[in-house]
Amino acid sequence: MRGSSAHRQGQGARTTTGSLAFLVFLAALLVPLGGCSNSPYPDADNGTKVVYYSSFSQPPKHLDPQLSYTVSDGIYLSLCYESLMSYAYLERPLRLQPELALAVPKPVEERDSEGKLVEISYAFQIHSNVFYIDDPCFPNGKGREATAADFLFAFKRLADPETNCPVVDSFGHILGFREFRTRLTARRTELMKGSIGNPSRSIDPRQLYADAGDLAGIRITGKYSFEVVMDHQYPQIMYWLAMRFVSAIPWEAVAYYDGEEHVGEKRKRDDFDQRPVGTGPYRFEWETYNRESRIVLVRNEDWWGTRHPERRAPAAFFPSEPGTALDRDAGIWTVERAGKPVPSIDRIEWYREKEAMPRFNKFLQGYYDAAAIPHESFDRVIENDNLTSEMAAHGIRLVKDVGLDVFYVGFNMDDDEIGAPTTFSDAKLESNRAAELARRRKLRQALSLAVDMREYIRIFDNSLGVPAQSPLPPGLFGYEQDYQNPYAQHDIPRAEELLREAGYPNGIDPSTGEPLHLTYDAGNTSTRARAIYNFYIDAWKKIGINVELAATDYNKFQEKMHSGRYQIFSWGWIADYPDPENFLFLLYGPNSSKHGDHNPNHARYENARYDRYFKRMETLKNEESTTWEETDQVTGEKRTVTMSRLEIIRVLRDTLQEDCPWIPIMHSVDYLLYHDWMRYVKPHPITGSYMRFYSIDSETRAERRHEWNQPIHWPAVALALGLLAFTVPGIVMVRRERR
Amino acid sequence: MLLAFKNINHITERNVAIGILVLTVTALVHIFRHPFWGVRLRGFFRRPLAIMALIIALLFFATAWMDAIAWKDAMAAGAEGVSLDARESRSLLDRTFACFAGVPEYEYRERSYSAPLADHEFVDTDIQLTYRHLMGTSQTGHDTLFKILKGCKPAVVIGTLPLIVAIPLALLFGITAGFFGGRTDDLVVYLYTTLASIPGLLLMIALITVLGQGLLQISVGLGVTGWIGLCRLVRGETLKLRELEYVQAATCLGVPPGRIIMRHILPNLMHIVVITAILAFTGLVLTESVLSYIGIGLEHSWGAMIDHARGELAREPVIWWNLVFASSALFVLVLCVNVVGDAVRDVLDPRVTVHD
Repeated sequence: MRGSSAHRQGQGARTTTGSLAFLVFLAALLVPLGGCSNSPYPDADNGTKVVYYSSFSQPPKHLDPQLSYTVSDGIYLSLCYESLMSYAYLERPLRLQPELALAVPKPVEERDSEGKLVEISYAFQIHSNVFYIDDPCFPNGKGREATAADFLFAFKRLADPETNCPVVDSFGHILGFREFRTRLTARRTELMKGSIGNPSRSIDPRQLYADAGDLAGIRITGKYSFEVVMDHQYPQIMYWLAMRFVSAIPWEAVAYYDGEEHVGEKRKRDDFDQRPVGTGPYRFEWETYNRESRIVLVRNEDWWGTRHPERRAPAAFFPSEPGTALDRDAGIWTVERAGKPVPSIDRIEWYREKEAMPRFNKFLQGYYDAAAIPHESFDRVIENDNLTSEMAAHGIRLVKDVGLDVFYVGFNMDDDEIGAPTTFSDAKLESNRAAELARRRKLRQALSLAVDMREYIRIFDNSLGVPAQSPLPPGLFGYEQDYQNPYAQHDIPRAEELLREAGYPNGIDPSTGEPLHLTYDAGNTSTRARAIYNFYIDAWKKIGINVELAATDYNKFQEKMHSGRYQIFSWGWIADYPDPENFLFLLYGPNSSKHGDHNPNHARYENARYDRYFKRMETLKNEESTTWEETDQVTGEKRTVTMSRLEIIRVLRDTLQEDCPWIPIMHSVDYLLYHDWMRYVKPHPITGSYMRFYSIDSETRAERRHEWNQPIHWPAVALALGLLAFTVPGIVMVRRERR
Repeated sequence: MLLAFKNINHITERNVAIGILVLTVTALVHIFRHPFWGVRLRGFFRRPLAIMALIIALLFFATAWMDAIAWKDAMAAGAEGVSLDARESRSLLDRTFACFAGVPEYEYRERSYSAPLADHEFVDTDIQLTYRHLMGTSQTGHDTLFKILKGCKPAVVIGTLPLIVAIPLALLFGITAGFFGGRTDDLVVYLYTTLASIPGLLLMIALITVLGQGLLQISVGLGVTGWIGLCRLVRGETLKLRELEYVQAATCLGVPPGRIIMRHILPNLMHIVVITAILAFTGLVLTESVLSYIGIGLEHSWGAMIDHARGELAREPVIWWNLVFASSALFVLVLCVNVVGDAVRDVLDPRVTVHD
């Protein structure tokens, strides 16, 4: 009995101790809540450095400037590497300015006694005393000086098939580039025969390129000077030379970062594709780098632009003049900032945000300095094309710019049913070729007239876009605001009329007695994408055409595009450089994807007249005219024709308008939001290192963050009380039962 | 083989509902005649909640069935100025909806979002609506109620068709393993243990990638991955049944194994099959929603609506109706089938005595 009582007492004591322990545990849980904050930066800046906070959605794919071709990777690369030229930050239309070069060179033509062009050269002089960042790839880890030889190496590496440069064909205009590529391939094959594995990994790339011989189009004329030589006109080469593909690249880094294990080293070396070593104003902070979650770039203290202010290099100073009249009014350019050295930001930190809404919410909390507007929040942010009063009161600023891009629905012109193939596979169709081509042209025109681009932009892009009339976007030479493509208007009666003329009255295919059946291939299976595809399909249904959607993942879609097994598709194009050639070449016959997987003419459009005029336009300067002789097709008489570049572009545009290989849908409009502690922000249609021109008031940001993110304690208290309300009766009940 | 799968969708869509209806009616008639099943089903019908759930579930099934019976209007097929929608096959559901709406279902739409019963567009409030929509409209102006009704067919087919694949597989392997034991059992256990060790969702994604995206393909994918649980149960139950006296007696009397399985094992497993099938239905419907969420589901399913509504929910002002109504439809169907499943389990449980 005593024992039993003692046992009960002991049990009671244990229960009390247990309850107390539980309450202490609860209190311990709550204590940190009082001092916690919602700051996503555990090691936030202490105010001594100016930090720019931003986000990324996908980890960097390639950090090799000669391989990467995505906008997101380009942002990091353009801050770490430097090209010969870049674009003036504020000026519109866009203008090239020197970056590592001392000046933008003028072309020098050399002609023979008959006036025939022998060669055309661009002489580049680059800055001296430009050093690569310190890196283990260099002797003693100390970055060496960049010279003209590095550019020769960069050009040779571009030609290397192993580099897999996505735009290698554009550099094929350089004298001897293709020949060098062939020699290099042969040399590599020779080495392959004599070695096991991949020889490019085991030999010095500089040696390999030297063994392959000279690259005739790159002439080194001094330690800091070289010439780029071509044997024909191709003025667009200047734009390609301003891209990050032609950056100062140290051969040591390419050789060192081979992705292999080395004796005496604890870990495998990175691949050069993941290890930028450049001369730019920023460098990666590898100690904190995590490509899946956080990317930090820190200021390169040894950057030549900072060390040599006396050079007044355009890349190292804020523009001394506003680019457009609106820049001054919008506060993008101020007298105080004009001509001051850049960059003013010490660190740029990117944090991964997979979803748009958390990213935007953190922007509203002040944790990101700038943000795009998510589709979902558009109505909250924009009212009558301006910021809502709520956003304006929050100190948010808005900048807009039309993107240099085009989104379109394309037809496979190689398809018998909808296109204009070189030869119809059906002999009966081929025997009546002219009439069949006309039928299909009318069918494409009818399909184009059925789509309401304005409605598309309203529904899917919050009216953020310009309905496209041709491949050329606003802001580009050749774009004419007044031009209206008659087949890019929504006109159902006209579409039905054309369909009747095409031999498909009411959309019925006379050969089957059923509605004409076409397929539409797309590379996205998400529900949002499907809603967009169904928008087109519904539009075509209205004129009686049955279009079947074949939505697959992007890889399968690309396979289809390469194999030519498609009828209708949709795609887009973002400018590489601000020249109409960069858009009109998307429909140039020799660029048809049937001639090569990487060719950009996915509509497989081939029109001899278009190709002829394209070649005439391609190498002309905007203000130039050209003259040629041609035979009048009606009278058979020879005549001399003189046309300006703009007139030729109009001919190309009209040819596309009639042939309708595309339904031009829209050009995007970029809306960028930023907080008022950030200044001098202007969207730029070409990827570049424009963050160097931003400035940030860290103190104001810290104050705002503190003000906007006061901890809210009541949910924690309510949670604690709720827990207590549930647990205390339970404890009491258990104790009572045990007694 | 793969091509055959890819081209078979139209056969499924036209005939599967009729097939299921015929099979269900035949099975029910047969079951009611059988004394064991008859007694238990009468027990089921004494539960008001279960009856209500069954009626609601049957409404969903009826809607799905109405959507599977479709035909073309001969008059509209060749007529001038008639839209393609009018010339295509229209289901009984489409036609019924059109009767209630007063206009053909393909014309009962707006240009973009509109809130339930609103008279103007949601985003561009200057645009007057042509019709009033009980549950609002989607981004492309389709009536949400009509989309919900159209979602019944994928839900019901996805909930049923995989069972046609999974149940025979589970019975075949489970009974064979349990009854014969030895190496057969080892082989079957090895097979389902191996399959069970592959994450179901990954296996399904792989299958759908190979077979293609479509109702039948997803059903096959779900069926191939969904037989393992039932197979385990059937194997265990068969192991127990084969040791019972009457089975032992039949074996001693030289009754062939096939006959023993058909006469003594299979009938005693049916309650497990029925309960598992009903409860698996809800799991399958929910799995389709998950597949839609990761972009490989069906185009007009509730899962696709919920997936699309992800972005809508983040909008300000919130576009809530597509998510709320699609989720509600899914919830109600799953809840009702679960209630029916629970009731069926109760009445079929051998430990519970059902009085006639």
